[in-house]
Amino acid sequence: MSEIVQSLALGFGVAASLSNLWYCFLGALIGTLIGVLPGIGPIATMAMLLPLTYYLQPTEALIMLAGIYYGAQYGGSTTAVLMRLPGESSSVVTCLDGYAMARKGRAGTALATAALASFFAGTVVTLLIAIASPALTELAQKFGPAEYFSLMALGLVAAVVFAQGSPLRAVGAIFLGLLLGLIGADVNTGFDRFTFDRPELRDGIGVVVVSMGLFGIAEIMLNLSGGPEGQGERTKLSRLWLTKEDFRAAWPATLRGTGLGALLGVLPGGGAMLGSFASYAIEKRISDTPERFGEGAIEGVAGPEAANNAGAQSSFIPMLALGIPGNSVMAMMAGAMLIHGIAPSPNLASTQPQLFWGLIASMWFGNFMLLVINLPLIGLWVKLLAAPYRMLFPAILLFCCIGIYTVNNSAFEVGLVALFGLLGVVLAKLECPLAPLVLAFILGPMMEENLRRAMLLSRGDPSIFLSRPISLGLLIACALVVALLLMPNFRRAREAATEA
Amino acid sequence: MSPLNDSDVRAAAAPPETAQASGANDILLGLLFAAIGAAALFIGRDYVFGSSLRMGPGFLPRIVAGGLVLLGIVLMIRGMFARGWAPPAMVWRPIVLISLAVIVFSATIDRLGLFVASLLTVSIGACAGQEVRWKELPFVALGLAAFCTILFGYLLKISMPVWPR
Repeated sequence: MSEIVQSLALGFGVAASLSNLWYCFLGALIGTLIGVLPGIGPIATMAMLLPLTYYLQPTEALIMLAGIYYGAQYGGSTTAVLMRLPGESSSVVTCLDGYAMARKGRAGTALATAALASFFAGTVVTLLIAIASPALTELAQKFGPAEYFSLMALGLVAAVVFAQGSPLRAVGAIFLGLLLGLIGADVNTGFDRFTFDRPELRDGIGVVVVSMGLFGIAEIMLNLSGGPEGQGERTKLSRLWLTKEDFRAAWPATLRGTGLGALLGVLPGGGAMLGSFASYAIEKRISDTPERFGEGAIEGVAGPEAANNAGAQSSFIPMLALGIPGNSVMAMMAGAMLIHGIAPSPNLASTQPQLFWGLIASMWFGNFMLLVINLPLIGLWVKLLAAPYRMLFPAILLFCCIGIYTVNNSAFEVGLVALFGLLGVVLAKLECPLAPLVLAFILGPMMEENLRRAMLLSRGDPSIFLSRPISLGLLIACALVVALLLMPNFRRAREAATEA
Repeated sequence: MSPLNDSDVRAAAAPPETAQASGANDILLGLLFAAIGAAALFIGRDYVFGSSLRMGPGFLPRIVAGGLVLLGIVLMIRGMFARGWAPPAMVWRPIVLISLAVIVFSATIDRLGLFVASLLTVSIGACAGQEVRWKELPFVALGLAAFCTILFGYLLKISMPVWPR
């Protein structure tokens, strides 16, 4: 226990230093600023703003990026409530009841609920990470190649089962992602695979390039080809507070959402979106008056918002404890760490305690700042929302190009982004989910390496995955998740929640 | 991420009335997967496969590419049995122009520097919009190029070519 208090004290000491607080604030502010602009999700925001963090110290840079991420997420919720424009997939659910509340003149209440629920969830999960991380570090010591492989397999399976639309297409997306991940020199033999004799491809394609193309550039193309923007009419703000009845209705939902989001966020491939959908489904199911959902039920805002923030935060756990980035946002963070010469690994907590605990503590500060920034500045955000996309997208486009170029000073990578933008548009038009593709792309190379090592250890006997207890447990979890797909109840809920 | 329209939100909220029969999407996606997989198999035909004990560099590529081909075929078959044939409507103008804008940035940044590359990229990219305001365009392009040049080239001092050399 004292160890936890000590670590947290160290973390808060680091995070509360004036410069770190400043970068946390700056990140949250800029993140929100970009996040409220329609048509830009957190990944595009992070990639665009990555160059801003180059000249910072590693700790400052990561704290600022984390702030940008939270800010972008919160910005997404703001547009979801006020204009029924989800900034990203995890705030799709917030649109439903948040916008309905706004239509009834309760936009202020909805926004305050979202901010408070997010803050509550953030606080709880920060504590949770601090408490769990010594145990996690210990667990990580027991992780051999077989366990790593099985855990990542679980992530991919979960990504298919919880993806939007047809599972078969999601499996295809996974395979395509794995194949793209194989591009580059083979780690063990140095043999070039699918490099087309381009030296730039020998190190593989960067995660930033793939996600920027699939999410950033493709998004611009889709937005521009989407006919007149189908957004709801802009609603007016109301008083930014909750009544007693609101509180009473919102807090149990917040609590449940936090738990659910934290749990689902830990799963590689989970992240923020899954929690928000699950929370909405559960709130609707256990409510005495499910017919209010979609008509402005405050539980429908509080639960998913808490879940999405809890999930966003707990998805740091697999990366900090095991070095596995569980989704593209985390991969972006891992990329930023690498730029600063820090490899994400299980030893991070012992080798870089300042950075590790500072980052965790700054998550709490980041959430607090969001509360402080968003509630007073909401009027400004509303004004920003009025900016027409015609003015915005050239700037987004240019920032994307510059952002990619500065990662490696490579013009070649900028060209690749155009290619992935094209791929992203085609796949999106054919209703192929992109999140599993990116996850498989990130995990693929790590899976290959661990598979090979496991096979060397077991002398080519694949039963190693079943004979080691942790690995076996993870594979059983895979089977259970797949079994979910066969249950008619789950299938219906999945279709209801994700068939968008 | 994308602006949702009415039907999207409703679909997210309520179960869809009937499973959308989108045979065309399945067939096209299947074709794409199968083609990419087959190309990967062809390019990697000489990669050493190895054994499960000592996996060669071709071990996973062949499994993954083979899987992709197989999945593509399954998707095509499913698509043929699905009712309804409505291939997705592609609007080519933004797709072509935005790609072009990015490619132009990639082709010019090293030699012509940030300012010129930005100017070109924004000018081409801005034409991808549904309504192009020709009087606005030069100001948008110049303004953005100047802003980025000052921000990245001088304030943040990121090492990148700023002017033509």
